[in-house]
Amino acid sequence: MMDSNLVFNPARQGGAPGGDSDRLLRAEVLICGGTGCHSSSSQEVTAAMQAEVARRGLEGEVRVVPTGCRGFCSMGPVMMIYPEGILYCQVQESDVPDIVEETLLKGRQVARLAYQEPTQHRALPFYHDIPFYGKQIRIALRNCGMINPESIDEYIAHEGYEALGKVLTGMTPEDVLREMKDSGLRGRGGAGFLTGLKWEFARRSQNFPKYVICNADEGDPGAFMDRSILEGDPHSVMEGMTIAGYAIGASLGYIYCRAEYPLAIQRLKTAIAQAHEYGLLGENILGSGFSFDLKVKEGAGAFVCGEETALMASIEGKRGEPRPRPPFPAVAGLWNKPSNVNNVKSYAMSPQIMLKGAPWFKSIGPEKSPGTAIFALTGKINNTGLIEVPMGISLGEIIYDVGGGIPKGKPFKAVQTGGPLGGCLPASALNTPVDFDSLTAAGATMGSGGMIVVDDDTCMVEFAKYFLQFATAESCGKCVPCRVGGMRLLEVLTRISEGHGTDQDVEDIKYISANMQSASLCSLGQLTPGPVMSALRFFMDEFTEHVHNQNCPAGQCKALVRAKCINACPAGVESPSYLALVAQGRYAEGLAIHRERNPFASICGRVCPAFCEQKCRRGEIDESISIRLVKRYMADHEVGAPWTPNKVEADKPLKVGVVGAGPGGLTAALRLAQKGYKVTVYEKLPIPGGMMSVGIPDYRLPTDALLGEIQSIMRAGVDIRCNTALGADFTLDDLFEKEGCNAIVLAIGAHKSRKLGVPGEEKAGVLHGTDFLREVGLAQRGAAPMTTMPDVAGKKVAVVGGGNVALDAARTAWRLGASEVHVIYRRTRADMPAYAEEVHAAYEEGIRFHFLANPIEVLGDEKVTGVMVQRQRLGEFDAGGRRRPAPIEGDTFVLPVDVIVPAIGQTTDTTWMQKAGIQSTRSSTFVVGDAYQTSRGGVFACGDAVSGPATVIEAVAQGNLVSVAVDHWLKTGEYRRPRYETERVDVAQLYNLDDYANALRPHVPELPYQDRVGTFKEVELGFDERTVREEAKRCLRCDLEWLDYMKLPQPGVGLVAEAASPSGESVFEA
Amino acid sequence: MEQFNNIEAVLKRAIQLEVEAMTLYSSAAQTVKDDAVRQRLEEMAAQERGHKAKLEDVLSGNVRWAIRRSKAEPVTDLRLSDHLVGGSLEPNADYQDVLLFAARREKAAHEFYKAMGEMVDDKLTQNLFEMLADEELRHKYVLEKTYEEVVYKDF
Amino acid sequence: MPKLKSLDDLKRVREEAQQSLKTRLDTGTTIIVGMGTCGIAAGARDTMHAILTELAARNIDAHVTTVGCIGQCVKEPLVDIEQAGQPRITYGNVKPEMVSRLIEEHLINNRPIEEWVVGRLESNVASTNVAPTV
Repeated sequence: MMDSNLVFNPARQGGAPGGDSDRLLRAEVLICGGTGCHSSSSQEVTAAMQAEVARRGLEGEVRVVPTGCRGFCSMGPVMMIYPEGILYCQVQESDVPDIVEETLLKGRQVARLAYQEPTQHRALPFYHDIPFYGKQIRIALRNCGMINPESIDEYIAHEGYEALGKVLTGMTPEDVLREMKDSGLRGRGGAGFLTGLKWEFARRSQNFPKYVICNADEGDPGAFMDRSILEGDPHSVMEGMTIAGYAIGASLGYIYCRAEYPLAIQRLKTAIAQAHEYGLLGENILGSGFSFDLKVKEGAGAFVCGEETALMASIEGKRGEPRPRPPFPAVAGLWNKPSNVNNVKSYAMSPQIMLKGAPWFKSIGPEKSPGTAIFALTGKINNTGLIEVPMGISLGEIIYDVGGGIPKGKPFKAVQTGGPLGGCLPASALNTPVDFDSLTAAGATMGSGGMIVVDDDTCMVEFAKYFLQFATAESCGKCVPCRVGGMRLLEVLTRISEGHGTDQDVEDIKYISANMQSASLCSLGQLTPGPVMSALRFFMDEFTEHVHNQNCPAGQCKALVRAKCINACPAGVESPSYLALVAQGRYAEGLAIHRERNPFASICGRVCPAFCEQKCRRGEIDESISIRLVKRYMADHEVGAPWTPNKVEADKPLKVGVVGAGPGGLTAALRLAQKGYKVTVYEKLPIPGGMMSVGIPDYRLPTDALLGEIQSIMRAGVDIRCNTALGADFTLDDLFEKEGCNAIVLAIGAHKSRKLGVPGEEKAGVLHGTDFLREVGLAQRGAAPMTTMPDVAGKKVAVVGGGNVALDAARTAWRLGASEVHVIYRRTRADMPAYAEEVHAAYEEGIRFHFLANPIEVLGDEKVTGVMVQRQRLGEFDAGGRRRPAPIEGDTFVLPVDVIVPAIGQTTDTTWMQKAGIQSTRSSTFVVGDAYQTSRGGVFACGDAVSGPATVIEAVAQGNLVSVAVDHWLKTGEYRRPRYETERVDVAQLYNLDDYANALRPHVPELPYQDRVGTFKEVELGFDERTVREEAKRCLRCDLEWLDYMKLPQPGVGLVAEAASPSGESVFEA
Repeated sequence: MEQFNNIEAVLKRAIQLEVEAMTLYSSAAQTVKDDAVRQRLEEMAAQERGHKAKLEDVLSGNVRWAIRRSKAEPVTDLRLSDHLVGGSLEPNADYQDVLLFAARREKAAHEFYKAMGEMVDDKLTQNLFEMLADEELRHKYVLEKTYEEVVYKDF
Repeated sequence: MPKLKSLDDLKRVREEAQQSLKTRLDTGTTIIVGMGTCGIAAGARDTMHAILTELAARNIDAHVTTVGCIGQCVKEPLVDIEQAGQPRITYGNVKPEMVSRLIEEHLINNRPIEEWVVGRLESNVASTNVAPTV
């Protein structure tokens, strides 16, 4: 605001009347004379000011200067008064006398004219309103970040040494012990032993001199709680140690601080020197007769020295090795004398306990773990830092409320507590209260307070291996279970992470761990297996994936991950290869590679959620490659004859019956046909495609793109019979006996919409989401008359649900002419399973969303007139790590609507099954074994019917796998876990990646709003050729890096030059 | 309106209700078509048998002690199914149907005991009814949790 | 500095220290820079240098002090500005190049830069007896 050119300078030459530029002016009043202010009467203001100044006899002292426009037009007329730099807004003639009186004469601001900044002080949040701070109770950290740690005066000003004074002058050592015991403080180093009791043991020992020792070794990676206290408030620790010395009868204390904390050591030494100056350390403290001194001993880089007996050995000048206990340090410790070893945090809390009393401390947190706990929050969390929270707070509150949740809204996977000797806990443990006993019961430990949060980009095998590497490196080597056991454990884990693990390895982990836990000399060895055992307990699936499928779902284990995109794709489509080919203009070859693993390039180029893009490494730098749209272009520009899938094996006389022509069934059928089997697909609906045809509307997936790829599969020799329903038209027995099938694949999907279960659901006007979309789909794909489409024109529609079916139904209803479309969802926008782009597009199309809203009744007589909705609030975490909605009693509203479309979830229809039918799960999907076989011999299953509602690409992946399983079973009679293997194709990189370092991901052109109204035209318009080929070149080619890592040869160049575009013209300008 | 003369009468009535549930579930298990539903019904029948045994223990043992122990256990009401209707044990019933049926039954039992507790004067009997009401709420919680995991997975 | 020989001596030192802190806060300007290892790693030393330079260039008389880590490490370097009679306001992620605008707008024109603010403390720290629980 302040224009530096106008800073008042008394020496400036000016046009003051009377030419008295030497005289000091009292003030300069600048009034804006620009057009804006002029039109709001600034001229009158100027005249009035001049008149008033004259009237008060201030002409010689006040200069009134009309200026040009200052730009603040909306607040005009604007007046600036110098030298103060006061800005008055919307000044009127009538304000002038006040301004002259108050500001010019008395030097006071006229408040009503002052500029009201939108952001006043009072709009800024108070600390206690910020969840990061608001949920904290700072006892040990009370002064950190508040006082200057190098000023003992500031410490004293903030209650410093008051506790010591109280203790030395008014309490006996027994009083102190009682207070500490009554407080219930448990050692904050991690073991959680009652501090008061520990002090008492030391007191009872009659052997002198005694020692007070502070364990400030803090070796856990990612832990910095102790460091922050020593750097930020060293006196609190010293005061606590002095109090402990008084209580146990010691006169010397050692602070064992690791040498890697030079700032902490320096601040400690400064603080000790200052305390000496004031006589708060040394002889006869505060005239009480008690003497106490402190020394700092630097650690020397050994994690094991955090163990108390090794620590004391180190102080004595020996190698840090633990020794058996008993005798405990309280009896025989440093130089065999009674010693009390406590953690930094325990000492830092002690003065407050003495000052405020045991009942105060005990009132915080649960009974068996009173007080507060300090955590260092690190890893995949928004608010990395240090916090002090009351014990008993839940893990979820720490991670989401205080920690601010996971960056980029990614789902929480696990949290490691207790450092490398602790354990990890999954989402199902988010409600666990954080205290010593609850954490141990849940399978982790409290430890010193490290908390490392990870998301789904972290592999739990790798995570456990990381901690194991640390612990084995730090083993002192004295006892066999730790020295040898740790190394063996590490070898096994490394094998597993490299894809060479076996089931026996998993058993060996358990065996070695059990031995280490029971036989190691100290807690380093005993707790080393903690991380890997907890990872096995909660993430066994991940270990089995590594062992059985040589697959690392998180994409971290280098040997198993050729590229993160390939790894993330359920069907393992080799994106880097086809991207490279597209970059070269070789679309047909790219398509061929794609179709080896996924026959639906055109379809998935439109509808796939693109798990590949979510993990793309380019995304960690700027934005991920637009893989899906590159794929779409490649598929849409197939030149020459449409694809006829090749035969991979010779024809066989065997027949396979596939029930359901969705993506899972069609893929299985295709692969089996390619292997030479006779395949017939039995489809219930009039057209094939499953959810692709009747679940995904035209504006996302146009009919020709859809049907073209299905026809390719038919060209492979697959016979599709529509209008043939399992149950109504045939049974499984019929397939075996009458149709001559040797094996059956059930791929019937999940088309049955779940009922809401609310009163009124049976009224006319309730049309379930899947039925709604199917009616639209059949009509639009030409399989039913257009008149069978749902009649929602001019009506108000409420869709209930938050998944893709709900969103598709909502956007379809809008296109069919609904006058209002609402989406009612029980949770929050962030929790919606629907694709973010779909939600965004729905907002653009004017669809209204109601979150934390649950319909409880359908209103109306025979026809729907509205829906009663109850508002929800979020409560505890459920087993999946999401906050569970709970109804707010009495808080309901009515949404008047004519049509209700429930879309809360879909299941597989099992009503065709006979009583002794195929085994199903509680989600109504089929129970399958490793080879996708059901409980009935020769009957396999794949797709949504196995996984529950999922995506096209997941169904394709299962289709690939089940075809291998069926083939093997038909050939050998054995059910074997399948692996779908294709030849790896490496494509050379012909351009310099550095040229694409700054290239950005292009925006997708979309159909403008007005063109979408009332039509089903495709919304996403795709890229042009040049954009696509350039986008493909942003790819980092992780697959080529992997070749180097695996010491495999790089691909040969092969091609001489880039191919021209299909039109024959050069793609690039000359 | 049911009348209860004493503690014994109350407990016997409660045991009878458990038996009723037990036979309801085990006979439905024999007629449902869906295999997973059948399994769940058998589990629920077994659970009701367990509840019955627990109540018989209370009947033959120390009622006060049982009440005190029950008060110490937490009880949460998710209120997930309170507004829902339907649920069935018919042959075509699916998992959602069965869970809903059972949850609503537990709620009805809870409300029954709660209403009873408000009508009696004797403190011990009151406490006993509260204990029974809490137990039913705990059963409801388990069923609602499963309902949430299965039915509300995407909602 | 004379040794404290009794509880009364301690009390006297406390009162003097509190008084001088109060005076400073009531009449002057204090700038507080977080200087724990997290702050230093985030560049707090450079930020501190920029602050001192700017204050000198503008001839502003302000007390500049350092504190340890308050715990919101992700927002380091943290800089607090405490002016006479105003609540103490904390700024986060303060880079050296942000300093001159900070001093201009907040210190001189009394307009906190909202988008950089982390929060404000509700009471004037040193003028209360009890250490703040934040």
